[in-house]
Amino acid sequence: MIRVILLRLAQTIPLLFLVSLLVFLIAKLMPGDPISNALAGQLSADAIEQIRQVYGLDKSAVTQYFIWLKNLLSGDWGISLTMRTPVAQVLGESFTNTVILTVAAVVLCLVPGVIIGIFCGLSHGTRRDRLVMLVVQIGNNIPVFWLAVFFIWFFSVKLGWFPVSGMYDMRGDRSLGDLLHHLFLPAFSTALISMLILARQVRNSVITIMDTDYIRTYRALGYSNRVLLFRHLGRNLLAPIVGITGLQIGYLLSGVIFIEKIFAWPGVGTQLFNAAAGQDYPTIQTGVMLIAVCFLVVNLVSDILQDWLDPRHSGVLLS
Amino acid sequence: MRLLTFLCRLVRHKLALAGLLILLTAVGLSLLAPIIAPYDPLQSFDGLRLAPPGTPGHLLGLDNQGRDMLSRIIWGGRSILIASILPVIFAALLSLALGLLAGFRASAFSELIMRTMDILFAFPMVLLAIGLSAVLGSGYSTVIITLICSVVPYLTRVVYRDTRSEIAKDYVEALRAQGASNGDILFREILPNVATPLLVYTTSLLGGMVVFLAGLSFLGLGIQPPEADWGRMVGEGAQMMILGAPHIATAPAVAIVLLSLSFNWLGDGLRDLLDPNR
Repeated sequence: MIRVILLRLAQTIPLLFLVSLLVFLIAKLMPGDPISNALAGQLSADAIEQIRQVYGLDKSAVTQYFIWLKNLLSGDWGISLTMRTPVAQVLGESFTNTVILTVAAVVLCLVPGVIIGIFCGLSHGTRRDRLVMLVVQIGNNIPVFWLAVFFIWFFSVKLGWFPVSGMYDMRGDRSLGDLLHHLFLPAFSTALISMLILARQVRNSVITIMDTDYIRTYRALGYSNRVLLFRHLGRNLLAPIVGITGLQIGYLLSGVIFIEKIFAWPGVGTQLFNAAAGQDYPTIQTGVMLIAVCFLVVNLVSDILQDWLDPRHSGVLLS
Repeated sequence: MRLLTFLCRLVRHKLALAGLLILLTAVGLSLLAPIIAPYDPLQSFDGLRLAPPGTPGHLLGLDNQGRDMLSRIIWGGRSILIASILPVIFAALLSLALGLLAGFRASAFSELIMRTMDILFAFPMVLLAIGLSAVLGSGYSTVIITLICSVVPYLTRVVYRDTRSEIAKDYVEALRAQGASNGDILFREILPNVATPLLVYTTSLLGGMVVFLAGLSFLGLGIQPPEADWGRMVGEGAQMMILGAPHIATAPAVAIVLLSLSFNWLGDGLRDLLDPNR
């Protein structure tokens, strides 16, 4: 098992390195450099040159990359160009908010998705199953941003059940209840479509597993459905569920960026939009890197969990 | 003749037929937009702002600037079709080349290609779009690059996997024994065999890309005003929806769903007909 974990890590680290290169290049592609752009006309060319030296912008791109990487790893993420505060401070709080939203979305995706998937898989081919699968297919194509707007209109404006946007009440006491009240709608909007996709894939796994010879043998031996369901199906389902969930968390993280914008949720996505508008490249770089790292870590954990749950999964790795 | 029988079989596939009809309607409407659209998509009728669907002369109502929704949707089909289909076709050709190259012979180069695909997989594409918009500004170039980068890793993996499995088959061995050149094996024998699954997969991916593209426009990273665009119409309609005029955001959203479903259904049909084993 340790060998598998090490192998997975060895696969991930070069990826991280290359992603960081990509992120660095995005900022390097910007026309001009941020100091000259921000200060041109306000200061003399000499003064600008001095400031560029302070920020290391006079060095070669390769040197800049390694300085940036070193700083990134040591937690020195630079100063936001638009807010004049450390990037760590700008992104720190919003990152927590994004994590809260994502975790809530994962829970809302996983629990109903698995239940619906198992239910449909067991009643495979019936009218109920086909109806649910049609809903899944249509839901799969509904733009998540429209759905979010629709939910705001329906649940917040028409019914008045939930607040329209934000994370806490302006005059509230920032209590947990207040947070959950604000959290439900954005989390639900993020989760719904992934939940449908998860349900379909769980269903397909259930059908495949229920069709295997050993389940058929147990059936023939007269084991009840309940025993098969809990003792055998459950075990075999865990690995695919972990795999699909790992993938869906990736989608959820991307979806969260849309949802944050729509619900004015103060997370990394919102910060990134502001940063892009202000060409605040230290914030863009660090924010993108932060999300990409989460993405990779989630995949890593999900791969390792799958290896652990289903030895067949890592067979390719070990051979 | 083979094409004709194929089309006949495709038409008999109910879902594929539905998908094909929706797609052809969308393409037809977009091409004929200047003739078919009842009004100029930018002309505003001041007295009728936010008028609901069914207003005389305006089937789908009017938006917050008093512009005819139906005309805007017909015109908006142009940008979404162009900005989704063209980059995906380009990406498919690129993936075909990359996948064949990487799959044909294991080398440092093929390793490099596949690792690059892994990075693109690991990179949330919305973030790429945000980053690019800071560099290139919002518009066609940003969304087209983002779309290509989103599609290429999926398609390259499919081509790579299929190329690898074809290479291992006996007929390649037999051809080699007969003295066929690498080029012949690659382009005459393997290419046709991997092209079919690629076509199927590309068609299904297009559905998701339509929604993704609309999402980028919704966020303001895509096609810029005043050109009509479905994603941005949903974005502009969002505020109006909260104020009690849901049709402005919903009509283009329905158009997006239909177009996306049509690609999915067509993809399902193609898969059933061309690739029955999968």
